[in-house]
Amino acid sequence: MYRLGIDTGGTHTDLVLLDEETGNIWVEKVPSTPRRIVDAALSGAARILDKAGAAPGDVHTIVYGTTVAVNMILQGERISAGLITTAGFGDVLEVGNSYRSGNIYDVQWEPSRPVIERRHCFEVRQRHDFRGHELEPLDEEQVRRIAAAVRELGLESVAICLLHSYTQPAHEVRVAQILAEEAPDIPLSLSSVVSPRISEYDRASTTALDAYVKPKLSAHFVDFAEQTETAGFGATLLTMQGSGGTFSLRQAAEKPIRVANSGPVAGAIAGSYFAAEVGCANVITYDMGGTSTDLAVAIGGDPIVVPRDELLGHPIQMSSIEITPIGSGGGSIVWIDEGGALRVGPDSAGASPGPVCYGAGGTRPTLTDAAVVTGRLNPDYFLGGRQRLDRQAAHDALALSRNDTDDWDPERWAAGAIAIAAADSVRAIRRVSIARGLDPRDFAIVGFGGAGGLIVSDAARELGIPTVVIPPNPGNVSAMGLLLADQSCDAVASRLCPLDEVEVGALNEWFDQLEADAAKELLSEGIAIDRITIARTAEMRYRGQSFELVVPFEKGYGGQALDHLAASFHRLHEQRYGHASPGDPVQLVSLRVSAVAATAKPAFPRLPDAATSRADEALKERRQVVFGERVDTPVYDRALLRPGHVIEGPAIIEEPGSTTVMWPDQKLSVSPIGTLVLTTR
Amino acid sequence: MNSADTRDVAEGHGLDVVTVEVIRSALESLAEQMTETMTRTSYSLLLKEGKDCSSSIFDAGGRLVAEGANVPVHLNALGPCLKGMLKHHFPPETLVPGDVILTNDPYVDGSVGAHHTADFIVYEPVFWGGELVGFSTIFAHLAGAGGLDPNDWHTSIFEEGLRIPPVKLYSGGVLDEDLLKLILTNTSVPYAQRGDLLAQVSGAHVGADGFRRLLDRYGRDVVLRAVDAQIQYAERRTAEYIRRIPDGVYRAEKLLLEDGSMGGPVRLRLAMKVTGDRITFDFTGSDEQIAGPINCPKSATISACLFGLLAMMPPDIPKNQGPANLVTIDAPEGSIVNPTPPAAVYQRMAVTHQIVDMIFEAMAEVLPDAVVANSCGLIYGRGSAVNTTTHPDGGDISARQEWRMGTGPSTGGLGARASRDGLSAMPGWITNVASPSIESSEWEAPVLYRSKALYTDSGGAGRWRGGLGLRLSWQVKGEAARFSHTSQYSAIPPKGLFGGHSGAPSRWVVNEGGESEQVLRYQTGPTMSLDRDDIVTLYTPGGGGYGDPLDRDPARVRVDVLDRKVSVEAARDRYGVVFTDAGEVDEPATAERRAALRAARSRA
Repeated sequence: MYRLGIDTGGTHTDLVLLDEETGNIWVEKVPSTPRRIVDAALSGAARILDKAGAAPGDVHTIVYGTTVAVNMILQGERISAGLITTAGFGDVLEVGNSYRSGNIYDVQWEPSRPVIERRHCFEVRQRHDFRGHELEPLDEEQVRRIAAAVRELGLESVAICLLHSYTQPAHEVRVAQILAEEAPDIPLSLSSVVSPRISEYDRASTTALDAYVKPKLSAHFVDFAEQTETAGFGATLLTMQGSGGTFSLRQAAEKPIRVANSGPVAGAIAGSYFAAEVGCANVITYDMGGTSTDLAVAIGGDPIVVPRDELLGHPIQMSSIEITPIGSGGGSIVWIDEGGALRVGPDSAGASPGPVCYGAGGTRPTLTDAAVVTGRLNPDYFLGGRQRLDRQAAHDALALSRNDTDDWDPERWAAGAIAIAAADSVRAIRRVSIARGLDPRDFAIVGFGGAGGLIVSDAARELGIPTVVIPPNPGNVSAMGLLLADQSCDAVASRLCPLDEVEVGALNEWFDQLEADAAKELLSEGIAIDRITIARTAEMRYRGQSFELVVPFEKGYGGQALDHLAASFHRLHEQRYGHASPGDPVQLVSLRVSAVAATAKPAFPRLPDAATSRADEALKERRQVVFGERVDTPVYDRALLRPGHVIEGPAIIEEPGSTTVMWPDQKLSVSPIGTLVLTTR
Repeated sequence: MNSADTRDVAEGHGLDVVTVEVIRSALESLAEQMTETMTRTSYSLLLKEGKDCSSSIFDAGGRLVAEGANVPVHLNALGPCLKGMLKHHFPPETLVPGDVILTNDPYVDGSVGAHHTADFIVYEPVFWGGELVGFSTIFAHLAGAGGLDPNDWHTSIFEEGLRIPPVKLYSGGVLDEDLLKLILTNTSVPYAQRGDLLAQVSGAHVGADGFRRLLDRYGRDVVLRAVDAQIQYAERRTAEYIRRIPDGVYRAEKLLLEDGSMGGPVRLRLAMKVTGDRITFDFTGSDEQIAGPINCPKSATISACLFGLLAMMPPDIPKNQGPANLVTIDAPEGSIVNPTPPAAVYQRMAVTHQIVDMIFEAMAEVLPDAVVANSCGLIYGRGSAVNTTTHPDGGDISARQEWRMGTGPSTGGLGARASRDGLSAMPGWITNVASPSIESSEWEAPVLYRSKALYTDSGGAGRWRGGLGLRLSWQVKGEAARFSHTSQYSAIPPKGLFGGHSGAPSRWVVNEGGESEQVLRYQTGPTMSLDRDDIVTLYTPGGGGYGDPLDRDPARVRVDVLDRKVSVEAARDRYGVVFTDAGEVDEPATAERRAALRAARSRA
């Protein structure tokens, strides 16, 4: 039987097919079809099955990565969603947290527009205090009038977010009942269900986004399910959540916000998986595509999960793998600012017109052009030779000087552009590591995505990171992540209180309840109970802090639970931030239970060992590559590299979807499944 | 400008442009990490959610190298303080590795120290190879200073809490426990104060370590020459913009306490003198310092001037010593913009907001696309009360719990811009402090919020509309409640530009609509007592409009009306836009109405 991963991107749809018995892998790439996203998925699926000689009926699971699909769907016409809040707070989205998150000197800055129009925000009289005591009953008549207005305005979905509903949801539930009676068939999103956590703006924003994406995203999932069935697939359909686990497409249609931020998490999962295979448990994943680069940090083999995220510029309270995007990729424009400084990005030539060397109308030089001019990229072997690149055009475009007396040649500008792009990456990597108390030198870096191998070693050397890992098929790592991810469900409850006031018995009961809720979802998918593992965690902080740490909780703690929690929290704080204050009071913020059904990890075929350490049979050619200055550099064919081969830099490793650059001070070895490991001497 | 300029700068320092850029990125990244480290680990609400702190790296000569900025008013002024400190307190030869210097005193070397006693500045000297190479500094608003009642109406600095002149908190890596004890004994929130101070020091360490690593990697000479090159680059780009302003003197004037309260009004006068690529901010003619807390230390005056200038330029100009090299600030000693002891300074933000608005006003004719109409200015409102039943935990040592009107500074409408409406419910430009959630505020203090909403027609009408102000109200849910407030723009509202109307003024009401309704007579005044269940309602100012409202696209007016940002009446009377019964713009009626309004205007 087979597992199929389909990752819809803005320009391409990537597919990976895994034969679970043999571990064989097939990859396929087809152009995306923005107008009907399912078309590319199905035509790609037909092609990849054909390659493998398999039929749709042989596929037992399809994991569908929809990140970009979410964006494409949202770029269409605006959805008319409504919001119901406690009286006096109808502007919760409009007012937000009153923080200018852009450059503070930029008085022309604009915040992201709320996804729900002010005219569609309704207020209802009711109030609970922070302990959940009712101060004012729900005005049900008013709710009925709102329901009439919702109907009259033709709103497509409604979000409900009342103050303190994370601790007392009764009024939200009642509002939903009334709406269901008065305005049936309008999808509702209750904040106490979507995100039962303190902080009204973040909770309202999360709930509003859920309501906003629901009508179209749900329809898309239903369409996907129908079309695959028509095409003869009887497979279980899964999709990725922001937290890094998969769940069923049916659940996704009900809780679309859990998918909407799934972003590039599949890449982070696969990147850390391949790194672990070569013995690197603590890694920074570096996924560079055409327009941007995504970073994630994994400790002990698992990407770091944080309790908050952002979507379309708005906060969301969904736990998610922490992804830090950088605005530079292979298509980033190389330019000179008005003060004469060399810059890379944030503008991108994107897929169209693309870099100058594509010859598709691009006139502004990009990082890809710089890679061609410096000899890093082979203009005759792009996409395995399917597309020829125009080196001369790239060279001419990189004659950046606007001054006749300027003596810098395009090659020097190109090398400079790569150094600056690497510096931008370095800055972002520092942000995700040092500011969290992590020293990047203790990490390995995993480079993938179409452009990852081109530049990752430059960033690693600058940071003093000694090991660089390049997984097999770097251009398809994200799709591979879809096949590696475990199926999971999280249940969360807000329990803000001082840790020393928590009653141990109650704590264990809360966890038991959450465990039952989380497991129920997996059981309803037909997963056997003995396949489900449970992880309990508590989000905690020192009283007064507002960033929580996620602390593991063991069922076996029993009566000692509070002491164990406190000790783990202090230790984690010390680890993460460099100091702890064991004498200070600790607060419990929320409890979370993750129920996980592990996916069997594929046994990737092992490559035969090399006869000698010399990789001469893989040597394709030699060419001049700029490393500070021009160096005569050997170029190897990755397909012919075997475990046991050792290559001393400088070198270029080519494969159809990607190119890896090795600096003169790096040395390469090959893992049993073909992962490249570059170490700095 | 062309590429040769940067290259000249870089190559003039024996480096290439790429090295300069890479080192600049590394230094700016360091400053960001410092701020991030501090906000993630601090304890007080203002820091952790408000992010009320900023970080900078200086070279050994006290020149600003890079900043990690959250709050504009914090920046650009740490350099003069550092220089004063080195001159009067700690000459460089008295510093050793592991020292951390602390001060919160506004009166360092004149008045270029902290902006007020709640601002703690930490300087960590950075040594490399036995040589002093720079300073890693963090400026942060901590919860615990400011004396008995920091937001009361003070007449002298001695009412504003413990003054800490530049002293070594750490000497050679050893914490001065006695000093820390002294500081914590003088605050009502020792727990948060200690956590915040330690977070601040760890942030400074991050900067110092990173600076040393950079020197290890590139060597002393390369880094220091790259720093010179960056400063020169920023200076050249700023000069380029100043040269576009015709030589001349540009003036603006504003009144503080213009409602006549508390000894007002107080006059602020600014003359911006532009000669070639130099600019002087001359405050001659501004009133003398007053016996009240709105005097503005010169450090804060400098910050406001540099912010206003840089806000009119491309935002990507590096924020380092470069721009400041072109600027002179003449702030007469003993005046409201450069007070002498014992003047109180706690509410100096009142002046800094006005300085920014004055700079935009003065420059409006020559830089119309870059300036912004008047914004909401300063709005602080703080309540506190005791309720040991609902809030037994925490608070200060008398169990008193404090809340603020939504945040540190409250938010109002910002002024409209040359082709954009003003932002609604934002802090004034020179501050940028996020509002904590109402739900967590209610967890922390005995208060019940009743509303937090934009209010219709508060944004100044204009071709581009000013941002809307907030109607914010809360109810006291504890005993022995105290309330203090500080605001401006109550009698003279934020002005519009180029025919744009003023935004709505600020207003404070206790028990609005009730029998005991009381509209507060002072825009700023002494702390008052409140009873349990009293309700305080604040209307924050709206931003000024930009351009003639009769020129606003009627379609935009329609959307504003649909969103209840503008009433149908205001659409008709201020914008001259009339709607059909179906709610569409009635084009002929609108044309007629606009013509009539124009005619009435010219008759007037």
